[in-house]
Amino acid sequence: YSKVIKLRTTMSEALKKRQEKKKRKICAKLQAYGLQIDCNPTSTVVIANAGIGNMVCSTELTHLVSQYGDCILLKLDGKSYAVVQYKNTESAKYAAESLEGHQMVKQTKNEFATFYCFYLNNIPQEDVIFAEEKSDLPNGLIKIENFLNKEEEQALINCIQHDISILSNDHVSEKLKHRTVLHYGYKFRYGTNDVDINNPISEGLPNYIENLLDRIMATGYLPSRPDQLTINMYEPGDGIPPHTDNTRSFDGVLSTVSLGSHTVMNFSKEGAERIDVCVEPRTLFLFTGESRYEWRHGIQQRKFDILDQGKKITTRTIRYSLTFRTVVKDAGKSGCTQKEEFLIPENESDANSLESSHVHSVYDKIADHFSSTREKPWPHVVEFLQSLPRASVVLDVGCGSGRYLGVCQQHFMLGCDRSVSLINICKQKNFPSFVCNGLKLPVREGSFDACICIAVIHHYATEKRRIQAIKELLRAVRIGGKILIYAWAIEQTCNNVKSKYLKKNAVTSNQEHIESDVSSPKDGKQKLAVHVNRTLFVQQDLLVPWKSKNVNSKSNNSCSTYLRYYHVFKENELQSLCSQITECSVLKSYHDNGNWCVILEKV
Amino acid sequence: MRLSAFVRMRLITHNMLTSHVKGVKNGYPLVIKAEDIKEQETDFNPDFISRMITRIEWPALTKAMEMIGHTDQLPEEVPKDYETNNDFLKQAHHALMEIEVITGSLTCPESGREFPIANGIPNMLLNEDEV
Repeated sequence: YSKVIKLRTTMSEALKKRQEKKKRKICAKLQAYGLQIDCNPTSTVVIANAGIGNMVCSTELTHLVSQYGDCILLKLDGKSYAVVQYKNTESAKYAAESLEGHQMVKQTKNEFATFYCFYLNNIPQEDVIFAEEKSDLPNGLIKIENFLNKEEEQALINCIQHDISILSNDHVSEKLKHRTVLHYGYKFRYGTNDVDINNPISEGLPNYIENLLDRIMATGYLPSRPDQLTINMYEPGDGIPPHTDNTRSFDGVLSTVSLGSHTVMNFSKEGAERIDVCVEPRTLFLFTGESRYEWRHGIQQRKFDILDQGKKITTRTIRYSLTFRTVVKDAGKSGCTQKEEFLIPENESDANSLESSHVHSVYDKIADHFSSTREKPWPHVVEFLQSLPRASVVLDVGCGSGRYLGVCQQHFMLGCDRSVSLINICKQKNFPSFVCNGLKLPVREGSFDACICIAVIHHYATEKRRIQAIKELLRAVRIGGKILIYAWAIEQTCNNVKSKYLKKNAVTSNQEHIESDVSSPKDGKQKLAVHVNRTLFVQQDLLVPWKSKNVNSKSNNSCSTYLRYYHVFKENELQSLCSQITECSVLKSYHDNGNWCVILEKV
Repeated sequence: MRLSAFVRMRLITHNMLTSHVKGVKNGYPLVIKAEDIKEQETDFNPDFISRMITRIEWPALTKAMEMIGHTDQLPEEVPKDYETNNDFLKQAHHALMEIEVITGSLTCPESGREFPIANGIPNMLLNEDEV
């Protein structure tokens, strides 16, 4: 027995020595980072290995360090260590001693971070970001605290709980991944983020909210009485991804009443710092103006929040949010007129985000269905490929699912596309291909004998980008190399013959159309029109609906509509772009079934 | 024609690709790091290969072969009689069309930017600040 004890002591001593050595090493490392380590306890603790850079979850760490006293966790971006400022030295000492050697599971799982604690005699100034909350609200957001009293709140919660229990199997209730939802008035469709205006729920809004709604109307902010209500029930740990409520389907002002638990709502906008807004129970929020159209709002999936600049941790309980919306009955006059996203982009940054949201991500979503409708190659494109000398090296830019990669076996055909999903389909078909953006092709200058670019450049949102795309094709081919470009035409008839796209109209005339937003350019900025499929184009820059059959959905034959951005070309426009580029000679220009086409030669 | 079940990045594709990161002057050839390589026999067409020889960068191909560990399989230079040299064309066919990288990466020789190859598909997308 004594032998065992002895063995244990020697082991622990060896371990202790090893740990001390390790600790000295880490201390030296921290000092090398410029931290001033103090041998005596101070109120500032630095914990080695506890930083975000070491894949430690800052939320969990905040929770842990605040157990030892009031403290602020300084945010040190990307660092492997964390710095915690305690209110006093006692708490800091308690924390440092308790956390020495503490192991925390990293966000990468399967791995532990081992903590080593030291004291600092000053707070590192650089890289310190205090950003848990901001006192200001996003522009246009109106916050009215204590909009109802506690009795009214409890009465509403009782009614909602009753509804959840009786409606749980009804069509108006659904458990989403991260929260429970009830819909009244109209059912919210999550695929398209809108409602079916032709299919209201007969019961309308519940009676128990009428009183509340009267009071919201009395604030004077709402142009009309809401007719759609979504109740979200968030349990601790639930959240909602950042979003902007659909502006085509819902009117200009949204109102939300929060019941039960507090929460923190995060507002984000491109180019602006994030704003975290504390949502106390019984508060009314009115989303107007900028907060409605330009900011996205969401709630992180957390079980607690850090309030008062890191001094207070509050555990979440069940929270109910009541969101009132007014459904737009006439989509042509919808609130979208105020939305930036629906304007024709005038600069590169807007063009970039429009292409990202209304071209790239759409193709990634519709890839399977798109591919199944694009099997047949267009005859004149095949003709062009066959006209090239045997064993040509050809690049298909924007090859989609590889429609032309297999039609001419005598050549070496290489495909590329911006959509990873479409290139995956090429791979399944055994076609060599890679992923890239056509504005910058990763190919050796002059390495190809020919390029084809079929139905691609109409997706670039500015003229500058369309020219850039053509320049890249020219760079890819050798001198004397040929290029074939097809782009959708605004003119869908040629010599009084309708294109196939229009002809199908006869068969699908009874199909339900998306309301077109035919805007007049008179009122300032040009807007993107939402095109009605199989009809004539009303303007050059449009959003064209794609109705996707959900191939993989087993549950229902649901149909989602996605909008793709197009710039349809006018007669001579394509040649005029090409004529602006040196080393480019237009060999031929023609109209083919609703497309403008050019054959170019690099000179 | 024999088809493999999956297409992978062949060395002929590598021969066409270059780094396009902003500011890079000489991004060619890309450095291959191959974790998974497969060799797959395909039909040999001497006319096709001899045409390809005129379109590719030969030194980049010999370099690519070295990078994936296939040394001394290709001559330093294209022989003058390449059009009729069947042995040479067969070697070139093997290098260009039959060796495929399934998993790995392509690295820009100048900036060190790495482009992943997954399932045989090189992903050459750039971040906004690299364009």
